[in-house]
Amino acid sequence: MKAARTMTDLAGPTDRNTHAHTDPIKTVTKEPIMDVQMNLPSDEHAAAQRAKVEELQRRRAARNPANATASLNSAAGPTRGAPARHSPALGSKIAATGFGLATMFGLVAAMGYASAASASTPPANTVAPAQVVVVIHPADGSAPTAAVTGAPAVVAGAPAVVTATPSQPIALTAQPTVRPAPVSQAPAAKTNGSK
Amino acid sequence: MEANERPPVAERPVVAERPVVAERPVVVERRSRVMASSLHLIAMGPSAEVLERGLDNAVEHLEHLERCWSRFIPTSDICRINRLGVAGGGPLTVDPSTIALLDAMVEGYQRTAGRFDPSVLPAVLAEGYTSSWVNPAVVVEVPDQPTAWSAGLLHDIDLDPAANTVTVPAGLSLDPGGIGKGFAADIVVGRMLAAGATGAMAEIGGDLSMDGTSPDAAGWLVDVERPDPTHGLLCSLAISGGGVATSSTRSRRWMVEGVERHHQIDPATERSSTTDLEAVTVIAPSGWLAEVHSTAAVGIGSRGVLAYLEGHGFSGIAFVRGDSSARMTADLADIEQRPLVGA
Repeated sequence: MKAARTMTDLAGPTDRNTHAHTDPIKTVTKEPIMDVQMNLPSDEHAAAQRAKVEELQRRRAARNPANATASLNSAAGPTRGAPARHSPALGSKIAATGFGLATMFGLVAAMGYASAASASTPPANTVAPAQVVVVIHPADGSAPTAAVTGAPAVVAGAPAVVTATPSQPIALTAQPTVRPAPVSQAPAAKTNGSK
Repeated sequence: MEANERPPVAERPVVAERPVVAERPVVVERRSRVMASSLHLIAMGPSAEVLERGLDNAVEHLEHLERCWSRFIPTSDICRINRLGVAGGGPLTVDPSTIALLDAMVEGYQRTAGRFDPSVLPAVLAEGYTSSWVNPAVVVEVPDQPTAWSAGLLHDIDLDPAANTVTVPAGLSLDPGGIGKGFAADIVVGRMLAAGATGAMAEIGGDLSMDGTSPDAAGWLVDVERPDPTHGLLCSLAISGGGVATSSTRSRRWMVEGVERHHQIDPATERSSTTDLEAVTVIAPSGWLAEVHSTAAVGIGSRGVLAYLEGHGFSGIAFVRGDSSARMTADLADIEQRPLVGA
């Protein structure tokens, strides 16, 4: 209840202040200028009133140039300017929006920093290597099996890694030893490539 | 006659000499041509007759392999596979040796991280290597393929060794090239040993395979020629066994519109490799493996070739264009390089 009363108290003076502030303008704009001018007496009092109205019009025009002419020339009634202050609800919305934007920009900045940190070393290969499917058919005629393995390494200069089991094993012996050939009568072979 | 004087010939124990001759190992050689390349076979064993039969069998089998693997013989397995590869499909029944070759191709591709890729036939043809080196009248044509070639197609080959069938993906066409020679050398060495040889060696177009007892106690003797044979030998090696292969950009060159091309295709660019290496010789556990890695090593270039070979545990020699001396892996440091001749 105290809160409600406080709200009422707050609203009262605000409305009153608004009315007090806008009454002179409302009076003037409710009545067409021509009517005012036609009803104005020709004595000093009337001249003073007209001067006062003109002074008020100038002030209003200075405060809101766009509405000045309209309010003076329109028969549709006055056009109020922007409220003097926002309501508490609107302020909360603005604050929430601001907080949300700040949070969003913070998250974007954090993600950008993390992305930049992880990209400090460029990837060796930007194309994802293809999967290798090796189909093995057993010699006994049973159903073939398929094994998915990684694609061969593509790093330049790096030793290759055999990633798939060949369907037919190829026997390899150890790396041969090489030594200078002695003077010999034994037959020798030659290598020179695609002779 | 004094005690240390040799007895007259007539007094020699003739009976004692015959077992020595019979027990001495016999070495037989044969030179010919196969797969549009030189062929050199060496076999050692107790009986020349047995060895000759083994060599006959080896030559016959090499001719059989050529009929299966040549891309210039329309009825070969490779040509049939390439025709099937236009749209993809299968299963296609092929020779068991073709299944083994295809298996080695896939493994070679994997071991070299794609630097060796026998599926670059469209690039080979595009560069102008369309006709047989032996008979230019024999021309290879691969029909326009609805599916373009792409790296890694080799992985989609489905091999069935039990049924001797192969199923190929669309867009695949193969050029056995060097791996065919190295693999064939491995196969016939095995056949010569099975036929009774105690040691055997086969060389096809510079790709060697050897196993068993060598004629020289130091090992199998292999002369490494310089890329330009007129410059003489670089060195002579004694190798315990395994394989040796040399891949060269000097051989099988041709001109297309004034630009020189060669058969070493870079899978990355699908063009003749622009490497600064003239040739690379690799010593590996088998002939096909040596061929696969020598092909891959040529494309790497002089900067990384030795690191590549040593990283794989191979011995190797690299010939850089314009450099009279060759570069060798560290394990060959005591190999003497002979001086350049005829330059």
